[in-house]
Amino acid sequence: MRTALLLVAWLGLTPAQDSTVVGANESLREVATRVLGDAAAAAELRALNNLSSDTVAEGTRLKLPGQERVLALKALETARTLLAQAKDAPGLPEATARLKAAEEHFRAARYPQASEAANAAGAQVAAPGAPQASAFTVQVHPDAGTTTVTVTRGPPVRVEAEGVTRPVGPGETVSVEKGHPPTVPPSPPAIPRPEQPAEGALLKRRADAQGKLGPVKLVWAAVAGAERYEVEVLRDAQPTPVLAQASTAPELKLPLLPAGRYRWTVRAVGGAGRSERSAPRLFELAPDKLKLEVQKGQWQ
Amino acid sequence: MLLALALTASPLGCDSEDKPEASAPATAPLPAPRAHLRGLKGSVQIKRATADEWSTASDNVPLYENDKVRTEAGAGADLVFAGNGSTVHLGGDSLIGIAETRPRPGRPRTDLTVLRGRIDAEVERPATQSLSVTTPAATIQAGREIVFQ
Repeated sequence: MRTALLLVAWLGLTPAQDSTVVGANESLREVATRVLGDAAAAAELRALNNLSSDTVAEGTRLKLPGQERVLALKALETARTLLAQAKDAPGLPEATARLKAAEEHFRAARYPQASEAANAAGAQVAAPGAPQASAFTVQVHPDAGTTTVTVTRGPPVRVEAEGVTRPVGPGETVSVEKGHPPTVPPSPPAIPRPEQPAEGALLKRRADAQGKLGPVKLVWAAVAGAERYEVEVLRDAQPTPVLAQASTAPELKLPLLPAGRYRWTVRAVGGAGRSERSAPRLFELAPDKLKLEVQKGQWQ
Repeated sequence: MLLALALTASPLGCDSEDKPEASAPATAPLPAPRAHLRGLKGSVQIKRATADEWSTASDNVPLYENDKVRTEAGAGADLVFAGNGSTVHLGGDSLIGIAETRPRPGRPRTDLTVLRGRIDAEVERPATQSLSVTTPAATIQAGREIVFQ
């Protein structure tokens, strides 16, 4: 019983958590730092206690914000984080305005309003259905109106023709011929990968009567859908190819070439178009010195 | 007495409303523009729904339903749709028409007909807006799905 009475007495003597007393020569900013950990919170204390200035007399008991301030502070921090992450969100300007309003409410110690505005600002950029601009291209060809639709970003667009609707997502393209449902156009063949000669290989070959060297065989990996391959061979840094030739097989035997450094590329051609050119592959062609052997005898 | 005064004053008070119709020419209210043409580059022409001839378009000219816009090769223009923030860039050698629209409360909708050429469209808020593009071969709808009932 005595213990219980002491506890009650202690609780009664303990200063209430919702107020504080201004110390000697203590400014409102210092009080804010002491009780709220933030000098800028002096504005809240001023609003909460209806003070007209930051000067308060020693011994003045000031009302302190309660749990609602903690909640508002969390809502503000969350909203700030979400807005910082949503750099390109279309709703960002509105969310920013709401966050600004929330901060004003907070400084004026209107914590419930601050929480509400901050939550709304965060929800605007964080919602799963947050507005993201839809961007797409429509190309109507000069023939019978064949239409190609390409979506660059945003939610899928719906392409409808002949009673068939096809969703087209970002990065996708559909083509529609007049009188036909939408179809996904076939993609061109993949880029062939050069295999031989190895990158930077030094190829020594015997020269013919004109001093040209060979043979050299170029080999690359076959790709699906390729009907033929187009090969270009260029000398050193010259922009014009010394050879441009097509091959139905994934290899090409080059005609004799002068000694020098060469680079070559290959691309696949199929019914759905042409691939990009492969990355250039380098090789160097050099004359192979003939080894002369003279047998022993009268001619030695 | 009051009744007499009222009867005397009555014709004066109704003067403006009782004007013969012939003296006030009937003017239909101007339709709201569906879009404005901006960022003109090169030769861009416009043909009003009620006109027979094409004329050179000027910057920020309003576009109404059934107006047509065409560009020559290398030209271009931006169609900024009123009300919903949709923007359509019209490429060169293109021909488009502003189609009739059926706006619904809170669900702005734009119909655009592309007869030739290329457009690059952007719907700012697809969650609440839609842009419907019709071509000779297909109908493309971006943004909120509209279900006709």
